[in-house]
Amino acid sequence: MRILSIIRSTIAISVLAASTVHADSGDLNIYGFMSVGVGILDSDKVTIEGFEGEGNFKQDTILALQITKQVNDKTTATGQLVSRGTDDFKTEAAWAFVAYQATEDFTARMGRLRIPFFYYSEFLEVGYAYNWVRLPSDIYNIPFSSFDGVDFTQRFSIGSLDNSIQINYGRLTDELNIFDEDYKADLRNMAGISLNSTYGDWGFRLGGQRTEMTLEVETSTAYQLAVMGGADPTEAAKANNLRRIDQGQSTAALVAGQLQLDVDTAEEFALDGHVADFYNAAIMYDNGSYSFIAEVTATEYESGLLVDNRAWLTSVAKRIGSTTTHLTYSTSRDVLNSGDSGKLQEALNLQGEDQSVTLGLRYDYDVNTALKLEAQYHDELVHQGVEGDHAMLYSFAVDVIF
Amino acid sequence: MKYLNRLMVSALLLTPILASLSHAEIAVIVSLKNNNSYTSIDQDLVGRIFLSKVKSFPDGTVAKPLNLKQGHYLRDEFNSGFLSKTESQLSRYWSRLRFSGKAELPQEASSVEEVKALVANNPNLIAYIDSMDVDDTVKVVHKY
Repeated sequence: MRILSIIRSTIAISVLAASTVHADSGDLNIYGFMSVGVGILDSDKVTIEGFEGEGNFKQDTILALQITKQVNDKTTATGQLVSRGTDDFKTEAAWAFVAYQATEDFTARMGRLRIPFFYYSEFLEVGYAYNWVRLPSDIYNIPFSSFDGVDFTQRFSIGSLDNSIQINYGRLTDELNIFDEDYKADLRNMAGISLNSTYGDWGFRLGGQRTEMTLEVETSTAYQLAVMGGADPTEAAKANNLRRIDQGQSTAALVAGQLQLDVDTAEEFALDGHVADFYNAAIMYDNGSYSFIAEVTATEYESGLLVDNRAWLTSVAKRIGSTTTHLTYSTSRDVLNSGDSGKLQEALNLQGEDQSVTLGLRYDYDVNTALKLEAQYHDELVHQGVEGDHAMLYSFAVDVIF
Repeated sequence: MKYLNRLMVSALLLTPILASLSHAEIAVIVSLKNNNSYTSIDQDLVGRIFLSKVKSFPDGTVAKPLNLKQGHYLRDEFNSGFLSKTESQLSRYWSRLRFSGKAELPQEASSVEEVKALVANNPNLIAYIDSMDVDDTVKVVHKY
């Protein structure tokens, strides 16, 4: 009996020794995620999720490496490098931050962080983390996702309701891709607050973000003269190398004059420190077999060049064994300003309205690999002010984490 | 008909026995130095600690979950009994937290012996073992 207990403690000590070594060498960790996919659109009249007809293997392809180093007891350094097929596989730091865990429930982070706009925003490129091949673009279409600054997270529980409040503040200077064209942008005083809660199988979320947007937009006198001389606006824009927002800003003053609208276009139809607000609420349920999410967002722009938007999605999923079947409806609707400002937006053909229905299968091949098959019907009800078109997008993807 | 009845009766009698055979009783354990009692920790709280939703014991001390390695039969039972999730669903859950820099997966041990040795020496750890393996080096705070 005594021998047995000696043997026991020897085992215990050797196990302890082994695990200490393990912890030390495990301080630097490398993880990653990867998605490869193909999408086929059945129409060449519309662009959906960046697809423009024919098979496209590059659109959904993404590779990311995450390196985490435990610097000391309370401090970690994390970098996440992402390489995207849509960006010709240029590598970019989506995350690069130092985190300081002051207490078990309070963490401060500084560096390059993701903007927690909506529920999926902080892991929007981790295909493995959700059922879809890609997030519904009716909601997840904001042309920027990271910022440089700080965020603070406080965790607290009320009975069995577990909550975390996250506050972020920072700035982003970057090229933004809007309507497939690049604009130099400076987004200052980006500030927001998010509340995430879970209660049993339920989850809830509320969030708000605000930033002051400055875009390098050109107003072209040559274009204005051409249009006043009777030239076709689209042709004139092409001739003067104007992007969509350039054209909108250049045309705003002309159209306001023609229609005798009471709008100070230089002030209201510009992007020079104009405020943009993003609001979001979501409710989630997941009991292991059935899951559900409903998410609603509202975007408000101070500038008339960008149109306020309301969007929502709802998705249900049923899991049987390793296979998850899911069905999603999402819609996005631009809301014109009231009064003359809205009449001008309408005359500039800025507004759009979209809806999508997506039916998909996710097969968890093993704990680190998911295969996905999806059919998405997308209907552009209104596209740039006029009636749009509709199409089917078929996708297949493999998502891996490591 | 008689045989069929008998067969059905014996199948019915066997079912609970078979079920109890396949289901090991799980004991959730902490260190003897941990001051939290059996009554203060329920199944719901154990689950929340293992999902990193709660980071302290009811008495306010730091709680760190200790998992068994992937593929261990007790881990699978714990996942379904306490977390209501498959290994794949947990993998997805943790991928959201890891790749948004919010939390790291629980520390892992490869055997019940290792679990007990680690827990015995660290009052912050909470882990699970087969209740048949419980001895006087650790304290049981929940059974399932």
